[in-house]
Amino acid sequence: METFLQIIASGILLGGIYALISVGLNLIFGVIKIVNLAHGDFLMVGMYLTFFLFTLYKINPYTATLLVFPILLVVGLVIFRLIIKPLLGKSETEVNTILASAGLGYVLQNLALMLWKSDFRAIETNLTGKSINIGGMMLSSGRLWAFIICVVVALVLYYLLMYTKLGAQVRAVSQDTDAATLMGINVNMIYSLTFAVGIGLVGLAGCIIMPIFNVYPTVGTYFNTLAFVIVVLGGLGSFTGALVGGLIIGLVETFAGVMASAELAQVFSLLLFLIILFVKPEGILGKAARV
Amino acid sequence: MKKFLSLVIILVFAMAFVTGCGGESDKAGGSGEVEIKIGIEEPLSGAQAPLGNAECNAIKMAVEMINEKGGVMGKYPISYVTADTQSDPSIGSSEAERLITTKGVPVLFGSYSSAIAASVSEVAERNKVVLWEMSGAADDLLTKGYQWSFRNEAMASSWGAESVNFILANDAAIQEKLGKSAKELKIAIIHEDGPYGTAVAEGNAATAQKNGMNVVINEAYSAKAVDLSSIIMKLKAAQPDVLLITSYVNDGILFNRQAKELGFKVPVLITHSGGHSVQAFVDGVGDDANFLLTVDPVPCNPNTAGYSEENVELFKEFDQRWTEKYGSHPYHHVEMRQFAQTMLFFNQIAPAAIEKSGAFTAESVAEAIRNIKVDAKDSLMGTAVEFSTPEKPFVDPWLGNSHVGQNIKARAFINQYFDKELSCVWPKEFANKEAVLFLPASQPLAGTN
Repeated sequence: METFLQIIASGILLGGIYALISVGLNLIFGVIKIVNLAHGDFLMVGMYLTFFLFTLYKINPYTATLLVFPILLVVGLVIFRLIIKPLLGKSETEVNTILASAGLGYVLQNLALMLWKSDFRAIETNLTGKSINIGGMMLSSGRLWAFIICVVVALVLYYLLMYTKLGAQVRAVSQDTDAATLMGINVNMIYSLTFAVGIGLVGLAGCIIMPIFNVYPTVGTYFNTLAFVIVVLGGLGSFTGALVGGLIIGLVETFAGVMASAELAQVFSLLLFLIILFVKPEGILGKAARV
Repeated sequence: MKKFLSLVIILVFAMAFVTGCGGESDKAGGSGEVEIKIGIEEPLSGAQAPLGNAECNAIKMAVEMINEKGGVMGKYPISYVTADTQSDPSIGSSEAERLITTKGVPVLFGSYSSAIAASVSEVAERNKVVLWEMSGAADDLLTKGYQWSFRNEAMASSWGAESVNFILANDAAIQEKLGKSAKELKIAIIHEDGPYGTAVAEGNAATAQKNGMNVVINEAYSAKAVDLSSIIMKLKAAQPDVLLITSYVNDGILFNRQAKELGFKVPVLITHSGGHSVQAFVDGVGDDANFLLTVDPVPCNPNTAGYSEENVELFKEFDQRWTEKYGSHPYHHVEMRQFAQTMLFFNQIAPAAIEKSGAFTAESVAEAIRNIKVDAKDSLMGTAVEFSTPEKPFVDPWLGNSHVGQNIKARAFINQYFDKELSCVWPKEFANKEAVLFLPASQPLAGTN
């Protein structure tokens, strides 16, 4: 029983990390309808920023979010203006944005390789290796914080999207761009804002996972695939879907790891992914829950 | 704007390509008719680049030291061409092809990873060119009967056998501390699922089972995993007396952190080189590295009583040069290893090849390697040198596989972290410190579940 509870706890905490990483990707897809293949690489940028803020200026990764989030927000704005915007509204937008973001991902990886070499870099904070014992369940402090922050981010985003005027505009643009334009909404502004927030959020995820994982130039590649699986599983564009998708993948991987083998854990989560694609291609939360 | 952007992107890529250890040495201005040219293929970019560059630089420094004295036999300078395998086996194979066909090298040095070594060895075999493998440890490199690949270091499965033999050799201490004999211990084996981790784990399991030990868990995981909690939960439930782990850096650090978080305890923990014997691991886990035992193909900071005076001096010189150039001491298990094997190749094998046939060709070098016999004291590796041949392959006693081109005198060593530095603790003749078998209380993983 204790093992069972531990599996659930570990799975949920892992799912929280996955969800946190995927939220930004889903936001961008849901509103602008572009697939950002450089998503994982922005996570890497966020992790490096956190690493250097910690090692050079002793800034705690959680405090670093206050700096990294706005920095990546600005980076997101600039990237949107320079790379994404020129491609929108033209023929083959989907293909072109995929290619452009993939190219951008390579540029970021190689820049990181050139600037910081491919060394694995890790930080040790006062939470590293620590955990809280609740009734025999060991909850990793770093992962618990990541989960809490993920839930807070989700709630704040939900509130902003559902209960503010700006949120209503974002939803309007995501549902029907033409109608939104006719209503006088500045679609471009909403697009650039959404893209910037999406990138800012993945940067924030980079801060939160830095006490848990090592950073190296290609760290984003793994998380990229995972983030895509999660948002497609939860429902592309369905913002709450990222949270559900993340938790499901986290739980499946942990259960499969214990019941079958660690090597097969990913096989099970990808199998589930395939099944969902066949049975409910729009994802678990599909259209109904779309914001 | 678009033009500007494309220019920036092109510049970035161009800059990425010129970084690293790459390049070609000056053409050998050789005084004689013998041209000595080798190809060095290492992962100079990508995930394995930190150690790939270190290895490449160590080989180059060894060549530099030999060339300063006139070259091989004091008269034939060495030239080299480097190739970046980008941490990718398929690029490793195309780069090997390029070095052989367009640069005409008869010998390839490399390859850091077992997976890359495997793909390079196929190219070497097809082109009848020598692969002098200096770090790819997985057994299957030499079990295919290839005639042109040679490995001077101990194969990975023997590292696995060594850790179990080390435990058996400590029977008395185990009896005293745990109240049971070494053969009654519960052994858990976890490893990354690549060729290297698998080969080590096979050596672990086969030797443990042969000695009647109880293997409670033997499980693989992906080195790219971002979560090892499932495997740690299983370990906790199995309550092993000994954990044998083989990992790369990333998963090595992740395991250490998650094991601590989930409260996993084990009396004896032995790691196997790879990710545990590198500075990045120590940087990642800090003081938790202390007292970890690790099986390596070289003794670290060994007792040098068994080495010739000349070789001790050579090591000192290398250490001094490296420290001057790169600002820190070279590691035994990274740079010194490559230095030692490069020296062995150019001081003992290349002269034998040239003396016998008057040329430095793939045939003459392969022939020289097959016939070479070096005493332990004359080898910088600490062990004697003698290679198995197609006619006389080496059949390992733990798995029963037959190996061609393996240095049959090579062995694995056990090193241990003291003050975050590795020192040899086993076998006794190389040890400069007493082994601490049981994790002391200061170690967060020490104890029983």
